Amino acid sequence: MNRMQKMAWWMAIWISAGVILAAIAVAVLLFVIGMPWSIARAGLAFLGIAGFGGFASLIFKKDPGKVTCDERDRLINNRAAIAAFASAYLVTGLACMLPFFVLGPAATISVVWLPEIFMAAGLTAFFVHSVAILVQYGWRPKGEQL
Amino acid sequence: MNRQQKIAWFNLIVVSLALGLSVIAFSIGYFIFGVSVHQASAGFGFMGIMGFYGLNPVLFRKGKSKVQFDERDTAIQRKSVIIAYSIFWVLFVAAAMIPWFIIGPNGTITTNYLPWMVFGGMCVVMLLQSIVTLNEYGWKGKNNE
Repeated sequence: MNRMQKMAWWMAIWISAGVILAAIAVAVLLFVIGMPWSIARAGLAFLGIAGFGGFASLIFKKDPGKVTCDERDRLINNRAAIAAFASAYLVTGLACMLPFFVLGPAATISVVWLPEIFMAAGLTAFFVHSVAILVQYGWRPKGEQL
Repeated sequence: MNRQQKIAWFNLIVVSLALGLSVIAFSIGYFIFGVSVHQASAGFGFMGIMGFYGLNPVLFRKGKSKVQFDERDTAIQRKSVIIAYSIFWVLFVAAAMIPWFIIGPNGTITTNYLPWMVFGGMCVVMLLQSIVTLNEYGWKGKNNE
């Protein structure tokens, strides 16, 4: 498994863990304990776990002696970046257009919705980028020594 | 000038025309005729010009006999998409955070603001993609293409 695959796995695992724990926490607070949404959304704090994904480049350091990234790796990374951007734009489009169509053009929403949109888009971008890398390389190691 | 350059030029003209005419119409309505912002924003009807973007495949058809797209074209296209989306995200985050800082976290915005962000973002992406494509190939035709 090469460095990019390891980083992609690391990122995908932490983002998944953050999203799943946040969803469970919100669901428990909302449906089991019966708290109102304004309090139950505190469970979204678990999304902070996704931040551990950012340590990937520190944990999987470049080996100074070897070529760790060639044209094929760059191609895979570029393709993954485009897939990430496209899916993040899809999330953004949905998050912006759904309130407009559901509530109507005259309605107002909390300004907090705006940072939430780009945070959701950011998480989507990082997750899709990681998954796209793993899909292109293959999910399991194939004897790469880098 | 190759097909990609022609498409980039066409998109650049369409987006610039739509944005330019919209801003001019809005400014005339608001500053010269003194109508309200709500009424003056009717000038953004000129954004409909962006619909010409969809004519790309019809206007610039692929030639049947020639190879019109090689590795270099693919690399340029990828680069333009990545740069366009990278700058779009910076602007999008700014568009999301500026109201938050100005109005405060307890404030509200109209749902009208959200589609503006999406379509504004789309314009930015199209504009930047065209500019980067033309910058990579060169803005003028070269006889060897």
